[in-house]
Amino acid sequence: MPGPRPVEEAALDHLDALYRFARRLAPTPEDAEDLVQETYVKALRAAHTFTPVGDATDASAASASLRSWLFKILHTTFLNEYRRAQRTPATESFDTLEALDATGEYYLYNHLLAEHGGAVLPQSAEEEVLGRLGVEDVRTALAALPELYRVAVTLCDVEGLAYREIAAALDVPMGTVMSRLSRGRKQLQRILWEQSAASRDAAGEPRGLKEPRA
Amino acid sequence: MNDPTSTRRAPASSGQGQAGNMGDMRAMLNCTAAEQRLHRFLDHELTEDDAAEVQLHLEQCENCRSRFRFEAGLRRLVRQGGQWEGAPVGLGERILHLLGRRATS
Repeated sequence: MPGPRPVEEAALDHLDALYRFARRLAPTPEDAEDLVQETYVKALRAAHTFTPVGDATDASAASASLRSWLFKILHTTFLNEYRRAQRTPATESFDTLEALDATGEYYLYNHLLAEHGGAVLPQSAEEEVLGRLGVEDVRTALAALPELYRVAVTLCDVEGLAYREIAAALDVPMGTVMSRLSRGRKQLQRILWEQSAASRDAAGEPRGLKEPRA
Repeated sequence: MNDPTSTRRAPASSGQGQAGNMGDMRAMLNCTAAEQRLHRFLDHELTEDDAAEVQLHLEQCENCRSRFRFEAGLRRLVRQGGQWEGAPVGLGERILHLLGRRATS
């Protein structure tokens, strides 16, 4: 077994994930690139302070903890430099919170179920809906999420970080991660439902979503 | 946090099945309890025992199986939607260059 790789080399394994995360935060692709470059420069400077959490002989655990450390540097850099420039801290607006907390879980499924009028959604209907929603719809919906939720949903559902890794990356308690995820997923489903309804209405038939909307 | 179960209930048949073997050491989950664990189950954030209880419930409850399958499908879709792009060509090279310079300077 080869010895542990230098942190700066192992860090490049996470380049795609970091860039995607930067794109979800920064206003332009150029800003996202700058943010990623800055993250790596800071990481190299601080490499001696990085200590992997958990079993040191477990390569995937080491990689996961390096990844959440890098996400943390990127997120902090974003907050300190870009967010400060915009002078608009991301907050959870009270109205949104109230609306989301009143929304039940599984918004999409429950609405489909209600439309179908049964106790269980036929697998064909389920596949039809999932097939109709394209990646483009997901992208639009993710972009429409308020930042706090977009960050949580991106780290969990897109990049596959564990709750405790997200908590470490964002420097918030686990409970906060879970509530942001819950609210973010509800809102994402609501947006997807509305998009799906709108495009169905516009197309007059149920296959509108998959078509590219130039 | 609100209680997600208080805001809506699945239509009448909750499909929770008769807790077949009462001697089973594992408590039978009902649909409400299974749904409360749905996200953590799909996120692999449950303990082994808690996940096994969910699994057992899913084997016996078509409603929840359908709900879980749908949410899992949606997760895959979100992942595909979010992961469509990677770093632009050349960014890795530029970073290596930048780091090389910094490391030796």
